Amino acid sequence: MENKNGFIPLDSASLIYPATESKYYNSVFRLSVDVKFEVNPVVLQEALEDVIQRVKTFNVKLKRGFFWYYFEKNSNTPVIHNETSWPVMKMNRKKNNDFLFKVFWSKHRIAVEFFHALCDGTGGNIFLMTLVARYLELKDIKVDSSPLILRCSDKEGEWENRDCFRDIIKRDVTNPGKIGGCHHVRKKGGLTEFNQAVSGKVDVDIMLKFARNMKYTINEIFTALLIMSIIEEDNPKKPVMISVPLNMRNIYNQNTLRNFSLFAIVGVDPGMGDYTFEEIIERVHLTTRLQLDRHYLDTIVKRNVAVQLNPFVRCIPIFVKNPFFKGLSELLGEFQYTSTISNMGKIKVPKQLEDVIDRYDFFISSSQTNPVGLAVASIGNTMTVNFASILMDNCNIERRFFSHLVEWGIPVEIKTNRQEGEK
Amino acid sequence: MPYCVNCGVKLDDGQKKCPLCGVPVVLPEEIEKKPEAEPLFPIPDANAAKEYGKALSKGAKMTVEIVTSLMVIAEICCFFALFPHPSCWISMTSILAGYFLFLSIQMSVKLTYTNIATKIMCFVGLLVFAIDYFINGQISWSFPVISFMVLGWVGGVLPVMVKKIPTLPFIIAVASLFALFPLMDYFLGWTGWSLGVAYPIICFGAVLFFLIIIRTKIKKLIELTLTDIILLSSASVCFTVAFGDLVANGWEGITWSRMLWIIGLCIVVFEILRTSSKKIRNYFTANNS
Repeated sequence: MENKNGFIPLDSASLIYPATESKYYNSVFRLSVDVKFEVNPVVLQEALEDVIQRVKTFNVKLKRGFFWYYFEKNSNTPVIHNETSWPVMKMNRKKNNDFLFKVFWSKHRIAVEFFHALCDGTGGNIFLMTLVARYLELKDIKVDSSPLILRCSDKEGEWENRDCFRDIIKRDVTNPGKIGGCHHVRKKGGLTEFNQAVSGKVDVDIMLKFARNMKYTINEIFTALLIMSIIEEDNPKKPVMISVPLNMRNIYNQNTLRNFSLFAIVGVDPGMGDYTFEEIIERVHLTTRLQLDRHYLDTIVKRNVAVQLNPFVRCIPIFVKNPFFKGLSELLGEFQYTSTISNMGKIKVPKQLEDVIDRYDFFISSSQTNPVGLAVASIGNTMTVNFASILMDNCNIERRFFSHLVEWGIPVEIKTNRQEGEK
Repeated sequence: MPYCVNCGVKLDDGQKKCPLCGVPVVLPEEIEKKPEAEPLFPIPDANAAKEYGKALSKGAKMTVEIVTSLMVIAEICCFFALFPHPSCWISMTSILAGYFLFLSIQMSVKLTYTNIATKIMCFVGLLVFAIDYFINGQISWSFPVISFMVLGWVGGVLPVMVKKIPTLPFIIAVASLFALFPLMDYFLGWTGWSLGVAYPIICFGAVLFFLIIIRTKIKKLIELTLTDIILLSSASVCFTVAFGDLVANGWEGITWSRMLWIIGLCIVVFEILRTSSKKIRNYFTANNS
């Protein structure tokens, strides 16, 4: 994992995150499980210490070099924290013993927040499940093996720390076409520094039945519904585009704990006229399919990675490079889309884990440009649809989204951290 | 489990209104009210927000915008003012290099108010110094400019950094002003304006500031009414102007300003009496019955 100087290079997709990190664009995501038993913090701390010895990919700290950011082995011990009142806040790494992930606990919850430079959702999920499984093992509950669980007795696999982007990059392909500007959610009522979460709990069977009747996937339905809610709320004239992260592991048949995802951008242009929900979802379905084309993905990988492998770019000092990376990230990332919807899909865990996990939550951070983000995950028969927003006193998009689901006959149970008096 | 009659979503037990639309939850009395369900995240206490640091207030954000905008405007003005000068290439090069540095700083440092303001001021100060030195071969006009920038930093940035003693930065600012003006007067050829004009104005500002601080912060110690502030400010203005005349013309030369000394002293004596005697004070207040 380390080279001879003790440096651990960041993977090709994560180089952008430290350069662009700020209070309102913190690139943090959160995975958590609500468990049926009462969490013992002493056992959880012990489990975490065992897991960090095994999952060395996460046992790192971020360092700023002269030319690049890099990881270095972290000799500190990670500690668990009391559950926070606001999810996916910017991480104070100094207070967290320099780790790029933070473990929270409450009476019935084990949660981990990750800085995106460390891993993507799949890698984070493996870490969380390994931690929960280790906790159960320390409580003398044997957990069956699963691809989501790394055994503390096993040796570290070569695949865990692989930079898959470097393996798949094709330098001779062209660059992908330009994508124009789009609408950004209006910041009515201003922004708050504390993430406002609205979580909807949906029955997986009912949702699946609805999706089958519509002949679309659940992800396509949620994407189209988010687009419709934004159009209804903001009445925009520019295109409403949604960024949909794609897990590249299945497409390229590679595996890693580190970042290996790209995003498709799908949406409609309300300037072309009023769209019905059926028209929106059809367009979402077709454009997602088009962007799943492997040749198209090759061009995006080349665009994202080639610039970092360029010897000229490598020689430029980091303080000169950072502003350009920031601009690049906005131009090729944030300015291209209106909001993000990230779907972890159904988390398949061994029976012992499924028996004790009540619900699974996934939150993604938002930003000043795109202040509303949606994350979906399901376990067992429970699906959680979680909005994280930095819009103060304004959750109209969330309200429209969930009201439509209820109109379609899908019961939704709402929980939030918005305080009384806030809307 | 209650439902929102507007959105149709299920709500947590014990929820008083819908978090999405704000419509109150009204349950029929015959339905047994259940205890409140566990919230999604713990309800924040007073210390919860501290961990994430305090955000910039609207006022601070506005100050950052104003400071940054003024710096940029000042640079553009410098550029055009120095353009016809024979050594204009120096100003152009330094300003262009400055812009590049400025952009790098803006985009690479952590965007905190103190960070931005300090780095911008350092950078603009160096730039001003360089332009002055290269063009004139000596330090002339850049000295007062840089001095005022330092004062601006003490008054505008230091209070944000030193939060425990709010009046300390102000005291430092006033003290540095007292030192700065004679120095500037000396550099620009001694005329005595620092003593005759600058000092009295600083004193007037300081008096006004302390009066406001006493009224707003130290209410328990001395209760100052609006009348007190107006009267004491007026006395301060009288002394300021009279002192200017005194420095300009000497004791023998003062004529009209004598009246100002008398008015000022009268006000001060009157205020002392008003503060010390409750009877006198009550006589001048509306509820003196």
